[in-house]
Amino acid sequence: MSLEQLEKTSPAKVLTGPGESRRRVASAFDGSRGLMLSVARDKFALIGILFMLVIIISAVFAPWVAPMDPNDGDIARRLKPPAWESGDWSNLLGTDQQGRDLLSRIFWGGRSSLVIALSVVVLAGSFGTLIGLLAGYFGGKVDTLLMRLTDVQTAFPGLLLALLILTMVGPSVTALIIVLSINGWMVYARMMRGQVLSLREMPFIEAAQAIGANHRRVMFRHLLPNLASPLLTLGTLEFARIILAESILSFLGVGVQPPDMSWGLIIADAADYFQTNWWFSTFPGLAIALTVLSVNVVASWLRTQADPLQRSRRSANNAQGH
Amino acid sequence: MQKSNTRSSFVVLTISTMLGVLLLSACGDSTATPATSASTTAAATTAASTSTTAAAVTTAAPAVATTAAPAVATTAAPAAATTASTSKVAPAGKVTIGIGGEPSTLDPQSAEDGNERAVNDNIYETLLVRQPSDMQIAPGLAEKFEQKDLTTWRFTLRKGIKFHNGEDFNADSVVTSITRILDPAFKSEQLSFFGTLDSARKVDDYTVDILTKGPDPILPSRMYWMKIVPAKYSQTKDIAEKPVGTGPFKFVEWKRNQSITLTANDSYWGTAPSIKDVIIRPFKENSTKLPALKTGDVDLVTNLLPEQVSQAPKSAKTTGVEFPMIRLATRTGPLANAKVRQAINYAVDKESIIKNIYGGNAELAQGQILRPDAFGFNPEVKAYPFDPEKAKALLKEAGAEGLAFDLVGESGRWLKDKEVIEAVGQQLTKVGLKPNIKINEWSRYLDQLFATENPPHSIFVSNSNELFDADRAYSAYFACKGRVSSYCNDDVDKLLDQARAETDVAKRTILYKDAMKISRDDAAMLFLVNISDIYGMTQRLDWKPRHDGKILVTEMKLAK
Amino acid sequence: MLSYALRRLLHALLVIIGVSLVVFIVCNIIGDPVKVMLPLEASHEDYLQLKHQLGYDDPVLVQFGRFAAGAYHLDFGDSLRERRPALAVVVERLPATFQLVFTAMIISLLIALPLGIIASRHPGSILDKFCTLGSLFGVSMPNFWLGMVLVMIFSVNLGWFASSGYGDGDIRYLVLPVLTLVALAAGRITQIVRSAMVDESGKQYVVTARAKGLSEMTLIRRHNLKNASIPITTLSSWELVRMLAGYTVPVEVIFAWPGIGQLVKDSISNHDLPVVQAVVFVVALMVVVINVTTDLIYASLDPRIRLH
Repeated sequence: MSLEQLEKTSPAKVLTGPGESRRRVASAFDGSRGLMLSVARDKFALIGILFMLVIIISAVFAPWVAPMDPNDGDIARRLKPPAWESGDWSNLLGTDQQGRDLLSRIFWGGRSSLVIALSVVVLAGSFGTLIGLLAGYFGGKVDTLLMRLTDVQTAFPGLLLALLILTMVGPSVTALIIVLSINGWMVYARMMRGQVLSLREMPFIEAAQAIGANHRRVMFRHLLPNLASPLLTLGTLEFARIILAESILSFLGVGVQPPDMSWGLIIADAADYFQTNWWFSTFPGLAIALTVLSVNVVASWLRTQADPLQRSRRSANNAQGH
Repeated sequence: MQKSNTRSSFVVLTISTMLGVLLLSACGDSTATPATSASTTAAATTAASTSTTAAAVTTAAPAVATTAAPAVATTAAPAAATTASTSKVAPAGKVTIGIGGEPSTLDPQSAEDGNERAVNDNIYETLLVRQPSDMQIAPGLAEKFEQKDLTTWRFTLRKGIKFHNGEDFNADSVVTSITRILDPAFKSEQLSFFGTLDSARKVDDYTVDILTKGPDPILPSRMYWMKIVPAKYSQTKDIAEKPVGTGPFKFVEWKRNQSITLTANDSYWGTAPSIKDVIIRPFKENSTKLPALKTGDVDLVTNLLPEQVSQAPKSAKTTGVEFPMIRLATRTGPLANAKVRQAINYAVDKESIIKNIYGGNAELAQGQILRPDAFGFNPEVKAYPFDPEKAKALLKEAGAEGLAFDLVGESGRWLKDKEVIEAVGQQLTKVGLKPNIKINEWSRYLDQLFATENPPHSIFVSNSNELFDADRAYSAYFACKGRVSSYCNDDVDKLLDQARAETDVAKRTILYKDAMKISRDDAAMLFLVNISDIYGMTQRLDWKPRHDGKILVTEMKLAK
Repeated sequence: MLSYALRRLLHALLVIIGVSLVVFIVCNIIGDPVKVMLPLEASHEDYLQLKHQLGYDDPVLVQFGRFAAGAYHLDFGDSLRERRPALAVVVERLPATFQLVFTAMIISLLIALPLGIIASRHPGSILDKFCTLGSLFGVSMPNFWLGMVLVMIFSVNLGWFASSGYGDGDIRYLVLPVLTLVALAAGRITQIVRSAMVDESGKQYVVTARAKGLSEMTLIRRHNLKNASIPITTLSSWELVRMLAGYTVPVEVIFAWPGIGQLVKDSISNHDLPVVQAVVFVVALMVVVINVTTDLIYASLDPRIRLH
């Protein structure tokens, strides 16, 4: 995200050489989240990855992992506190306002949150990458036009428009994915363009062009594979951002709708009860916060793994730090 | 209280592990923040000290709990309270009232808006009122009234009453009020209350004839609803922002989205109010009401959640006017078979909904959307009992086992709306139906509610019956051409038409009673409950809520 | 410089036209404000009449022409709900939002700058770890939830601050919504500051300067901070934009703060289209003004930019 901002707001980059640009991109990455890795080394990353795996596994296997049917409620059992307070171990984290098992709902809610985030990353990532590749590879008028478009849309108040569109179209998971993708492709386009600009003059690209490879081949066979690692890192960062965005929209009532569930929606249900029944909003909130945190940590780790410059600096820093 | 403290201390622990890291990491920053926080902290400390006092007051004893704006409140309130105790005449003290949201306007005649009403009920008056004890019609601005013939009602007005701006209250005010609200160009949203009115005619300065288009037996109820505006001032645009009435309170100031201030009308013609200043604040989110009550920021909030009752300093409830229900599409679709609709009525455990979702703060709707004290209520008509076996049997008979249908709803407009919809869905699933719940955003929901030609199979809706009469609600929901009706029964239609024109009270009662019986047996609705209004109050406020939901500050007292 | 400024202004104009177009299309092709305005018992004839009266039955192009002409004169029509000019409804909400956002921004900077600098001084130290981790926590928490948690702790349990409402400038009301916004912004700015500073300190000139024996404080003040100030400024201005154009919505909803965030939510759900159009227009305008200002400040700091 900071990349998007830095790219957008520092026209200086265009002036600097490709190598410089790339380094700046790298440092921007480093800036946002990767910085923590340079200090925290891999212990945090390990915890982050483990937690992320737990979340992903529990989401994928929700039907088997969840102790109960998340939609099976009984209002006679509503708002039961967690097991250690109520002494009833059938609902480990207590129940919601319909007497449904909160733990099961969190597992299932994670499922939609993660599916939505993944879909958006794939959709927005593909489109943005395509735009960035085209702009960076062809340069000139194509570049100007595409980047002007990207710039203009970046300055849109995205969340407001998302809120408006979803209200008008009628909230649904599909609409949510589309709207978030429409809002999120620009950052990929910017980064891809920057990266392509720096790679375009490289000998292996020139060689490919010289032996008569067509544009498409050069873009997708030669350029794209070299961009996989920054793309993966950016995708991971965006994944974390989308989980938050989804939870905000669902919380505001224009995202996931019942009987489907998502973390944001569970918190929306809990909003009336957060003073009287603390567990109801606390656990889904923790689920979001910890997931986003671990994804961010993993993104930083990916960053440092991918960037040799960064890795060497980190060791230097460590040396300095001790 | 004790238990909730241990629980919340758990929360504090969990969360502060997270927050703590953030805050702790600000350690290095203790040198850096002072500039910022200087003002914040300073103010916060003062604030903390005041609110601690307030909290102590709330828990320990009623007394003078200070309200939000410390400067004014702390100085004014105690002094005022003392005055109140010594002399009964002069109004004193300040009360802060939280209402459901920001009024869209303060013109008492243009909007159909409960928030506007909550304010203007204290500023404006009506020709007739309802007594707090039994809700019977009583004289208000009109001394007396009589029905001259089928379509003419004569009202004799009280003399010597002035509007807050000095204008006289007389026949002109009444004629203007009625003409204004009926003017098509004015586009009053309240027209549905007054659709039967034709015009008003001045007889002399203090006598007015009100003419109706046809016989209108509930004209007195309508006159309990129509606020009387000053003849001249109502022609200006100011009336939408600075209301001027004849009531016990005068308008002082409207800070949009923050507060509306009223003060006692010294020259009020009726019993002088005991409270001097009134602050009205919008409280939209349920979650914000309890903390504000506890800190004494507000003395009265509406629609307290049942879960919050035990934690509120004080609360009061009364039978309300809202009847949440689920409208079933009877003409077409999967629920066209009356047996299926009856099965649905048998399948839902209304008592459990009352007990669990409303925390006991609701009453069973007796197969009709009327309160026992409303005109047209049929005491012989009873609610469908909860009988899942019978429901299953009926479904089997109708060949409708495993029937799938849509259950449309919305979220957040009415107390516990979404929860009721989901709970009903659960219970219907348990007798083998497959309700497909669709929670829609408000305007999309309205689309579905109004689509009476092609209605959703079932839709949650809530009717509020402010006129205490069957006419308005039943014409809307049970007549073939009703604006929100997906039900059509020729017999019911005929009965409703006749009743609307029947001025003989006894005959009219019988007509409605028959209509209640048929519509209940037809299971035109999934009849649910009648919600009680729950108010949260501070200890110092002494008030008994009214059955019609009006919040009249004249009926309140502040404890010493 | 002039042509650069002109280019930025052209860009700004494009943004505003683009946003207006999107809003207009979404509202007029998908939405129907008229039915929301009528009471439950209104008839279809009432509906058609009102629709005609408000001009919502004209061809879309005519409506757009009217909208564009109106927007040019800053006239968005009357609010359907409040029956007074939509722009007035929006403008009177601005002070509350500004109060919230600017307080949050200042506090965020005051927290983030020292934290980021401290963290960057000794990368890898315990202090750095705490700052970094803390900022990550701030960035990872959904703000609507954080708001609830803060109310639970500081308002319900401790009773220090008011839980919601505006309170006429009483600071007790301001604290919690501001804190909620600060968590995110301070987290992100801390990261930016730290990385910008680390980035600078790795550069050749710093190494040289240090070798020359310049004190660390001088180094930070004179070189690192100055050079790092460009990304820090731009990213902070972006943080401001994010708050104004989005994060205030859930926060103002949670805290019943009477600013434009809440207005956005309400006007959208009431389908009060004139207000929706006015509010999005005003927000887009603010975003653009902030962007252009930042760009121009930036350009005046760094002449290379103007050349492009």
